[in-house]
Amino acid sequence: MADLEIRGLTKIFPGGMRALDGLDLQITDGEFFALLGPSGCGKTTLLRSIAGLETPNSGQILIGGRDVTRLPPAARDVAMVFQDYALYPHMTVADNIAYPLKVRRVGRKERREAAESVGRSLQIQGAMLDRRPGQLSGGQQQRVALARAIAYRPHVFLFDEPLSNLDARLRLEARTFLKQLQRELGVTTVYVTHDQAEALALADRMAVMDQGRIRQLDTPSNCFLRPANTFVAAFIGSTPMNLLPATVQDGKFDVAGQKVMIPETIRAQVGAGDTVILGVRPEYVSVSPTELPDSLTGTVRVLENLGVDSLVTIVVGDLRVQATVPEERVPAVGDRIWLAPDQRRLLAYRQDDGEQVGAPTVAQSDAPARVPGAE
Amino acid sequence: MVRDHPAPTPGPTQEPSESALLVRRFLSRIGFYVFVVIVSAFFALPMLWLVFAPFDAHPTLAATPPSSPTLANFPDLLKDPYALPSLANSVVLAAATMVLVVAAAAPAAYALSRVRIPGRDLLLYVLLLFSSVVTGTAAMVPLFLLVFDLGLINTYVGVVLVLAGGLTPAGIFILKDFVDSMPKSYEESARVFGASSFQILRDIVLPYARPGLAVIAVWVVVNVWSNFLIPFILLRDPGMLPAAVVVYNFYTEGGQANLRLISSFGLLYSIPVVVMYLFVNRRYGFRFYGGIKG
Repeated sequence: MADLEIRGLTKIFPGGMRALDGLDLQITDGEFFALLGPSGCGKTTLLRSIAGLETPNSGQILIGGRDVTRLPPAARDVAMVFQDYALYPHMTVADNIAYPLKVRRVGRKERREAAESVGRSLQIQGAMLDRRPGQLSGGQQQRVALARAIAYRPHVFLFDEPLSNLDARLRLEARTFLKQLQRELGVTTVYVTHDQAEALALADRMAVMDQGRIRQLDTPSNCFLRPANTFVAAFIGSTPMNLLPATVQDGKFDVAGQKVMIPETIRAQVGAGDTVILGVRPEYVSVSPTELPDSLTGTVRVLENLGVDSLVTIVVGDLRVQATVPEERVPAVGDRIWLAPDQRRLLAYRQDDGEQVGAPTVAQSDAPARVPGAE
Repeated sequence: MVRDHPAPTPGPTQEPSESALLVRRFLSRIGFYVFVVIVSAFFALPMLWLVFAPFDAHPTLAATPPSSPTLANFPDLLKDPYALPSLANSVVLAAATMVLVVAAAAPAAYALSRVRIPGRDLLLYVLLLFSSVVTGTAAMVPLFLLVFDLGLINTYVGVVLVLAGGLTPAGIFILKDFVDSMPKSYEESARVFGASSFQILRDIVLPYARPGLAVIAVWVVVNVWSNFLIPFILLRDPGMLPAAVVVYNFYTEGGQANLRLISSFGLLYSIPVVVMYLFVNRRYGFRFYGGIKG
């Protein structure tokens, strides 16, 4: 068990691609930490740098206070689970699980015992131990890869999109299983994913990355409720956040010629004539067939069934606004409806850099309440 | 074929063309089978000859079932003092060359597959190109002089080194393809678990490339087994000659072939290779394992 610290880590690939750009990060002992971002954002490079598979150009990596930046992977006490699991096709499941012990020259009998005991906790037992990885299902292979990482008894687990090769239903099961396992083992975990739902579900804290930088470092709920910038706002959430250009006029936001009240928390930060981008999640837009005060109005263009809710796309002026509506109140296409964003959930972003209005300029803070009194 | 719109010409003019098509298809089928039979016979006849002739008291060059079946050819063959030992010599040469080529090609293929050096592919192609010269007739004289200067004339070491030198580049080439196909994550995960390069080679790369190793091992053995020129020019002692050279003992001074001995020796000469192929295929399989999920 150990904490993990990254200081000013920079990685420039031959050809000039800057994968990591002076990255700072602290992960506490036993934390489940997710690195989230679109492909090419540097999250996998960061993970591989922690593992020792990439050599950073500058900066430091400390595991448990020990500088491991220049150490080979073997000396770092980290275990990595790869996206393709990297199970050795010519070895049995038991041999795969115990391979880290074989490298350490542990005897055959002890290796078998270790494989059995670790396997048991992951429902890998009996005849399955003597099969080859090719004979297992995707979910089983994934558990074998986990078992192998556990058998190594590392200080840090590194997961590189370990669930992305599973089908949707299995992925949910494996997700729950993984979180429970991490809690039981209490091993510091860094988890790379491009699936925002996975990061939200699993992580204690998460970093949303873009172009080698961290755009927000926070708890999942803060990343979801109070994205620090329009990038995070657009990236997180299974239904994309509404991002609407607005100007401040007469103490109200003017959105496509219609007026919305400025929330208490933002009012002091904006002046007349300011242009901002309003952000509100579809979940926090209430919909009414009758007129509401300080609301937007428009006609329903598209209905999408999400199961419990429906996602309604409404044309307001020349903008499109989305709202989720519970099943009993779904309007019909072509209906005129009124939309009221939840004042406590309405966020404003600066037009120029996309950062949140009223938030500190440096987004790298895990302070629980960035917007005072928002909850 | 039913045509419900009135055709300007009545049916009969159309029918011959359809039946002509059928006939043509039928004939082309027959032609195809005849072709297949001829080609198969072309390749099967020498084998048939090899099966029949050794058991014939008076074999000819025709592949006919023995007119006067006998086993006497084999005892006669054994009277030749070099016949049986030459097979053992071939085994020694083939095995030694095979071990040397596999031992050299495996690490080389791994390194060439994983380390980026400028001009790597060019190097491989040049090696491959020149390797065919090494065991070829063009280099016969320089090779002889080289081995002579090294004092390795009439030794197996000389023969094995020359043969291995000629075969290793192609071995590397074949094996590199196998190693290239191995996902990088295999090695990376082993490295994270603390495995050294040697452990990775031994535990992961070699077992993964095992079908490839089997392929080049068999290929080397077959090449050495059938190589006449190199042992012929580098060995002096008749007792050391491999089977491919000794088969020329069964010609008379006048160049007349003794078909009784040649055919029975030919049978003995080919059996080990066939057995080896069957064994290797069963034991190692000329194929890949598929384990990774992509």
